[in-house]
Amino acid sequence: MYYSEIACIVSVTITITINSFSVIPIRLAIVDDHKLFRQGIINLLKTYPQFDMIIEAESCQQLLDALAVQQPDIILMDIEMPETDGMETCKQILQLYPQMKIIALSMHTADNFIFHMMKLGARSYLHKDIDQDGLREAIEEVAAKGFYFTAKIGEAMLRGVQSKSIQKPYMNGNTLTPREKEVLTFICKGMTNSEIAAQLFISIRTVEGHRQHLLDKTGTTNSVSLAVFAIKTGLLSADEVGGHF
Amino acid sequence: MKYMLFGGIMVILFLAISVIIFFIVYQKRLLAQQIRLQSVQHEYQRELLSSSIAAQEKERVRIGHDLHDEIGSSLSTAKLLVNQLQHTDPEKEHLVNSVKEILSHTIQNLKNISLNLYPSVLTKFGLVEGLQYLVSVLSQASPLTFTFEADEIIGLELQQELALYRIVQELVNNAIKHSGASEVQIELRQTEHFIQLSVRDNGCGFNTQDAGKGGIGLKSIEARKEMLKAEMQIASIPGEGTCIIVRLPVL
Repeated sequence: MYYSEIACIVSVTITITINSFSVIPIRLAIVDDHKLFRQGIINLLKTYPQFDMIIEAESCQQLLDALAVQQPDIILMDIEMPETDGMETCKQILQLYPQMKIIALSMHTADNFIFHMMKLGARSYLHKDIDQDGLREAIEEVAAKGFYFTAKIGEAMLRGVQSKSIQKPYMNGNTLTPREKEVLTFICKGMTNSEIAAQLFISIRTVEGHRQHLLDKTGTTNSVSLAVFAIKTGLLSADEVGGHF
Repeated sequence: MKYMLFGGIMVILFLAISVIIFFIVYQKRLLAQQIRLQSVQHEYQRELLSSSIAAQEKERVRIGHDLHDEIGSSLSTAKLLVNQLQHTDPEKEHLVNSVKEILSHTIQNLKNISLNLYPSVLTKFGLVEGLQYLVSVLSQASPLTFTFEADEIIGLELQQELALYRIVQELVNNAIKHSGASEVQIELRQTEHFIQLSVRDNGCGFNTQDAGKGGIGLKSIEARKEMLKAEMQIASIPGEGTCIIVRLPVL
C-alpha cells in the first residue's frame, strides 16, 4: 500500500518531468473584443498541456503592448474589432514581427475575407464555429509546418487566384481616372485618408478605395513606394507633389 | 375729328398691346417661378428620401453587425463549451446532442439574417464582391441557377453601392418568390458615363401596366432608384420572363 503510493507519486513526477522536457508548450496569444469568446477559447485550450496561453488582449493596441514585452509563437486573431480591425492589426504585427504566425478566427465565411487575410500573411483562417479538435489540430499544424489549410481556405484561395475581380492586374498608371490622380497627388503630399476625404468632399471609405485601386493598379504595396512610382514613371511631376522631392 | 378718332384708336391699341405683353411676361415669370419651386421641392423630396434611406441602412447595418459579431460569437462560444461536455449517460448524451444541433442551426440562421441586414463583404470589399458573395450564398440556398457578371465598378459612394445592392436583393427575392424562374442573370456594367445593372429571369413575367401597384418591394426599389437619380426600365413578357435595367449616371 505504502510502496504503491510512493510508486504512484514517483511515476506522476516522472511523467510531469518528461512532459515538461519533451514538449515545449506552444505559446499562444488571443486578441478578440468579445470577452466571452476569448475566455471560452482560453478555458478550452487550458485542457491541453502542449499549449500555453501567454497573452489575452481585447484590442490591437493591447496586443501590441503585450508583444513588446514577450512574443508568443502563434496569435489567434479576430477580424472584426472596433478601432483597429484584424486586417489592419495583422498588417501592423507582421511589419513589426515578420515571423509571427497568425491564425484568423472569425464569424465571416466569405471567400474575400479568407483570401484577404491569407494575402496579408495569416497562416490559417478558422470560423468561430470550429470544434475543439479542429482548433487543436490547426494550432499544432501551424506551429509545426507554418500553415494550416482547410477545404474552405483552399476554395477561397483558388477563387482568389483565378478570379479577375479579386486579383487586379498590374497596370502602368495610364489607366488612372482623374479622381485617382487627384488622390495620388494628395497621398504624395503626405495627407492622411481623412484629410483627403475632407479636401475632396468624399467619404473616407471612398478614399481608401481609391488608395487601394492605386496600389493595385501600380503594383505597389504602400504609400511610399506609390509616391516613388508616381515620380519615377512621370505620373506626377515633382511640382505637383509640392516639391517634397 | 378724324385725327382724334385715329389717335384714340392708336392709344387704345397701344394700351391693349402693352396689357397683352405685360400679361405674357407675367405668365412666363409665374411659370418659371413654378418650375423652380417644383424642382426645389423635387430636390428636397429626394434629399428627404436619401436621408431616410440612409438612416434605415445605418440602423440595419448596426443591428446586422451586432447580431453577427456579438450574438454570433456568444453562440459559437456556447457551442464550443457544450462540445466539451461528455456524458456516459445516454439520456444526457442525447440532450447534449440536441443542444449542439440547436446551436448549430441557430448560428446558421443568424448568419442568413445578418447577411440580409448587413452585407459585410460589400462594406469591406465593395459592391462587386458583395454581390458575388450574395449570389454564391443564394446559389447554395435555392434551386435556381444564378449567374453574375460584372465590370470593375469605381466612383460610387457606400450609400450608392448599398442602394444598388438592395435593388438586386429585392429583384432577386421577387424572382425567387413569384416568378417561378429557373435562371436569374445579374449583370453590372460600367461605361464612361453610366453604371448599368440588369437583372433578368426566365420566369412567368407580368403585365408591366400593373407594376405601379406593386407592393413594398417595388416601392423600395423605386425609392432607391429615385435616390440614385437613376432610370429604370422594366420589360416583361408574360410567360417568357422579366428584364429590369437600372442605369445611373456617374460623375
